[in-house]
Amino acid sequence: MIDAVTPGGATPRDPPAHGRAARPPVTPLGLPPWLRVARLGMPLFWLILCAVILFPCVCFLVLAVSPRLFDQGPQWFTLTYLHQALTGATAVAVVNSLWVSSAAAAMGVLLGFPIAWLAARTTMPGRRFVSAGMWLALLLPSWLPSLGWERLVQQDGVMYRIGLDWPWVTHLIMGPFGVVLLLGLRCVPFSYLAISAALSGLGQEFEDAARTHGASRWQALRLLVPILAPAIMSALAIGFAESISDFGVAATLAYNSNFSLATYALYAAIGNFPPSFPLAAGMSWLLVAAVAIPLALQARALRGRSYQILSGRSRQAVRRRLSRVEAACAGTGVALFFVVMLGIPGFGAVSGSLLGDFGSSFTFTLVNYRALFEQPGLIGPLERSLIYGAITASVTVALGFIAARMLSRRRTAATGAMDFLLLASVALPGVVFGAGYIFAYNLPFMSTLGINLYQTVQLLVIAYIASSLPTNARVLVGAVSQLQESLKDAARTHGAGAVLAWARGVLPVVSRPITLAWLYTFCGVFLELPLSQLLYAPGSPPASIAIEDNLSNYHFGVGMAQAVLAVFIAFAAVALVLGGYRLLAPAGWRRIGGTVRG
Amino acid sequence: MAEPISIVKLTKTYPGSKVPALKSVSLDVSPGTFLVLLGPSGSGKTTMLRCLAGIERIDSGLITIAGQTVADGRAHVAPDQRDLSMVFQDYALWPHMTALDNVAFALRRRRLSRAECRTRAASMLERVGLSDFAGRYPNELSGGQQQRVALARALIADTGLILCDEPLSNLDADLRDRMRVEISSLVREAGATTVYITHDQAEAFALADVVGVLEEGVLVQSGTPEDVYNHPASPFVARFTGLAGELRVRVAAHGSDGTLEITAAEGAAGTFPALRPVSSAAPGDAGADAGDPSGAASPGGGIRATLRPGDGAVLAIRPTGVRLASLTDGTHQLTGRVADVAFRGRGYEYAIDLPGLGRLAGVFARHRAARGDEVGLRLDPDGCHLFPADGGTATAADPELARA
Amino acid sequence: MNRSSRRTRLRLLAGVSGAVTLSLLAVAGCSSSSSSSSSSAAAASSATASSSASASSSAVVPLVVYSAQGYDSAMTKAFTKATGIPVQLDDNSTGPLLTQIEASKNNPKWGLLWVDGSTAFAGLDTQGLLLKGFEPSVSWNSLGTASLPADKSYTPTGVTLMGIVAYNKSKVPSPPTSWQALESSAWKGQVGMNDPSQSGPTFPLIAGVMNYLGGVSAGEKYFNTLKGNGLVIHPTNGPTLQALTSGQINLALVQSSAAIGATFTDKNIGIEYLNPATLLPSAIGIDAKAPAAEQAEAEKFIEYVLSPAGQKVMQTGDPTGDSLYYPVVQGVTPLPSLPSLASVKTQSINPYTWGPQEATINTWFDSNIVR
Repeated sequence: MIDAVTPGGATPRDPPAHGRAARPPVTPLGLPPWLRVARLGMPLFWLILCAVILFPCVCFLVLAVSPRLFDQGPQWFTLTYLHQALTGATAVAVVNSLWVSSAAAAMGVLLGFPIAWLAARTTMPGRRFVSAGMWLALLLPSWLPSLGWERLVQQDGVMYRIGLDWPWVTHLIMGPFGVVLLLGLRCVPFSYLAISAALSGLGQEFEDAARTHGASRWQALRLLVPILAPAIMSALAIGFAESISDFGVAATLAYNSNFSLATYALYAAIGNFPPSFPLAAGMSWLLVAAVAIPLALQARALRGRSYQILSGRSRQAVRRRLSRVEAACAGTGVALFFVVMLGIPGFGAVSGSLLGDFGSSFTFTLVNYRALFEQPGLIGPLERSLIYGAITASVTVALGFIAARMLSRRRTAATGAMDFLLLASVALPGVVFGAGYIFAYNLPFMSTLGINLYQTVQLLVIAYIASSLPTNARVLVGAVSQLQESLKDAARTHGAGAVLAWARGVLPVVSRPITLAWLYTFCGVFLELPLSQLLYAPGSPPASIAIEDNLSNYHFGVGMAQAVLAVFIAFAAVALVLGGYRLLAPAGWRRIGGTVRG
Repeated sequence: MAEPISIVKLTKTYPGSKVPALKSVSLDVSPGTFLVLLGPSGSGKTTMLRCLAGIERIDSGLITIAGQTVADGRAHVAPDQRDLSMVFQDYALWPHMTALDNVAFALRRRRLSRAECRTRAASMLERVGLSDFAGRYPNELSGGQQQRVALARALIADTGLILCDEPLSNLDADLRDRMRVEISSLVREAGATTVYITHDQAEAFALADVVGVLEEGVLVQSGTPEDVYNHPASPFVARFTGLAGELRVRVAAHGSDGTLEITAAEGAAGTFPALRPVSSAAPGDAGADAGDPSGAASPGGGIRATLRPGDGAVLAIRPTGVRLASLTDGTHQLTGRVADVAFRGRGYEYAIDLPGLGRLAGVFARHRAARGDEVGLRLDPDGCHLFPADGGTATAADPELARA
Repeated sequence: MNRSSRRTRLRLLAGVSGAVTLSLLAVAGCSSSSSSSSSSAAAASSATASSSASASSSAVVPLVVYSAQGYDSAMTKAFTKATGIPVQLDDNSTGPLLTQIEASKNNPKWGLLWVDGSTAFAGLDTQGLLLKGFEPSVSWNSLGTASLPADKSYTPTGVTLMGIVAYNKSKVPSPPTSWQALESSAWKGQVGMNDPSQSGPTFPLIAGVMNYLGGVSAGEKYFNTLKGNGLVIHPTNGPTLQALTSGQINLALVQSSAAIGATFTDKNIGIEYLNPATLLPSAIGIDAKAPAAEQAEAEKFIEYVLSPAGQKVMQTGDPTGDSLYYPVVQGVTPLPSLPSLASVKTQSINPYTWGPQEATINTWFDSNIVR
């Protein structure tokens, strides 16, 4: 209070007399000044993005209008391929893909939101397993659920064998509805991750404010939706992009249901002999344009807001206690979801590999697995894939973290461009990406310069990194956007150099999300096929090539066994890393993130 | 060793913003001074602190710490090389480290052994009263405890400059006073130069050796707390440092010995004591001159207020400049009606509505009057400041600022 | 850093990236146009050089082999052991291999291609991508001579048949023996075949049927009838056979090697040849633009494959799959599980006639029969 101020002149107080020895000179911790990363950091990052994503994509897309550029046609400039892509069967395929992907993205949010809510904000039984289940679902290759569903509902499939003769189910699944179902299920983990990250930062005060002003529970809930809009939009965007570029479902369920999707049509255009790269490029333009739609909607919805959600200083939300009936319903519903999401692919894998060479009999046999281990050359590809996966995951997570940081801050033109670049590259199927890499990095003048990257391990790993980066960045955005800036500033002002400030002060806080993102990328690489097929170094096949070799020939059962083995090894790696993290990470790291305490 | 700071014409504009956050601010801080930067949100005080810390780069100007240039338009010394420490508004404790590790981290720059770091950190935690909490994680500590850990972290490395970014604003009111005293005593014991920012004028005056008031990126006044309080350079400074209210008046005539006689504007009732006009002081000026109504520029650089009979003016009244007076014994100058009463323990604070003039808040009296009573008021010239009317309307006292 | 300099930096970066990308594309254009004019010259020169290839192969460059054959890794290992020439094997399905070749044709990095189906090689030859004029010094049998191309741009290494029916012995007491038989309603909904856009050997089957029936339109009519009769399409040999054994179809039109291989594991499967069956050669073609040393090594590889030692490797390298082929050189007998060709009428299609039509016919098939 002002009364306490005593009048009279006040002079700066003299420093108290202390017997103090001369202080040792301050030395900065971290890198020497000439290696200041921050100066060249951002331009270098952009250069990397352009080199590994923009350049190959542009090289492929330009073929639609200028096939002569890469010896793929006589014209230097033409619009016929774009025209062709917009008409006829390809147009139908693109339209199918558009509406199916939108429906799938919407389904992903409609299922992911309540599950995220139940897991984060209520006392639903089994909620601790939901997160793990979602990650497991994310790691599955998309053809595995397709296979399981087909074997379930096909003529003379499991359903029929156990007496459920329901042709309408077969018709339903083996058609557009089944495609939307499968793609939608695949979108749920993305939505779940985005929304639960947002929920964990959402304080209780908004709901309280609504309730005390007369809103019912449902109205209060509806109030939260706009606040969660960034997360929801992000989930929709990535769900759409992933669905539109998915090849697993397109090549299996959709193909067998005679329902054409853009990715398959693209694959057919390239797979035809001679391949029509220009037509495929024309279709790719359409896919890229399609991706612009959800991005524009997202930008409009956010309207200048960043992905940054509320500060961590908001009051922690209290879990709502569910009544016995509510808990039973919720628990059963979510359990059912996981049975469908994880059980059916598991069934598909089992039936394909454990039931005889063609899965025709219903007696278990290990003959396929035995044949697998008798095959020579099994270990090499698996080892290779493990190494490629580890390297890719590490580099991708580093780049993805930087990208996530940019995305979670204030939107500028630069971050908007990067967002579009990353999302557009997700929308392009792997086969397009791979072909783009061949065009880009097999340019004749590069060979004359001595840069021979095509068909080397280096280029394959670079391609893996580039194709994993977009989703990786999105997966990290939720956690990164919750990082307080002051953590880094505090480290810097207390004497830590740039690198140390990040390493000791900031990264441990997001160590769990980073580890999970690493594992997601690792498994994706381990089971990746189209890029591997087009770019692998002759003589050094990764695991997916070895699997495909068997699957595409008549060693169906053995191929399935190999696929199951690969998936199993990927999961084993996941368990190993997570277990290692649990055991070895400092206690402080494990306390952060994850669920709100009940 | 405490370090002097010199800031010359510091300018900073955030990208994407049209308005500069700091406009050509210049300030010199002697070693060991406790400087408080006071201002509302958006005034640029946080920006200035961050520029000092090196977390933000400046656009132009010069910052020198201990004689060494740490920032000009081109060069920029990183925060970790400026030998300073900082206490943050949101505490900024690393959640994955215990309290002890948080404090010990700041000692790494001194290149001591790990054991030595931890020992010193433990003793520093004891000094702030948290020796039992050394092994706890930040989310297990209360707000006050977290802020004390942050303080310990800032003090432990014995840096020459300590920066404080509104460290008390997140604490509960009762804790705030106690923590203020702790910060003040610990920091002064360490003897470092301190730059502290806040929007709370009471806090600023309690802590500071020197106060700098920022308004929209401009340093409008700096000086000792007494100077700033007793001789505010502008209506804004007066407002921000606590007014009971502002009344619109008119200069009636020049009085003897340089005073001015004033009447209420618009012919409202009431008399006013004769007052001296305030000169707009340049930073560093102490006190105001006896008013020279002719308005010549003073050698100190300030421009004297030019007020002529008939000019409009603003009368800024401190809470200490107005008292309740009896309506009957003729000592009152103004009359009003009680709008609100607040019991303060040692007396009462009143909000009084003056018809035609406005509202005065924070008027203190020992006795109680009821809401709606008519009361008389008496003004003390020492607690009133006269400013030229700047074209703005006379405002009733901002209740927030009227807290004494 | 102040705002204006940051903006300048971003602009500079954008400009540099754009300039770099554009210039790379421009250079791509320039180099592609120049390389197409030089490719014919290179092909001509290497054709004459091939006869003296053995003398010039002093530099040991690795031989890059693109192969889809099941026995290729066994073969490359045996080859390296026998000759000391290092081999880098790109073991992939035919589709990706051809994609790679086509995408990299302005700067090819392969030595030889070894896949099933002469139409692919005819297509590559028409684009001038194959080395012409090489013939290994072997004695061809009748199957071999029927499969040799006129300009010797590729070399057959073995033959399988398309037009073989794998059937479910318990459900089908008497399988059909002619193509026309499949049109009858007795087989409604029971017949399955592969998708030519996914299964390389299937286009020769379609082309063979069209060739036999007298032309493209006759063939289209035939397949339309089959579709009306409930024809089921699966991507490749594997899934089609799986459909057979799981009972979804009773007759599967697959490649002979696949069908015979299936009988090993599933005793319930029998095989029958339709009349006529189309020859499907597996062949090796050499990259026209490969360095001379690598081309010489490729020629040696072909010689090795067709030698008795190589044929032995071919027949043991994939015993349930690709090894079930009919040899094209004299003095080598097929594996015992293969039925004798004496009773089977075979035809071969001219890949140069049918190859160019592959894209249109496949697209027609995809749009009309698969959908």
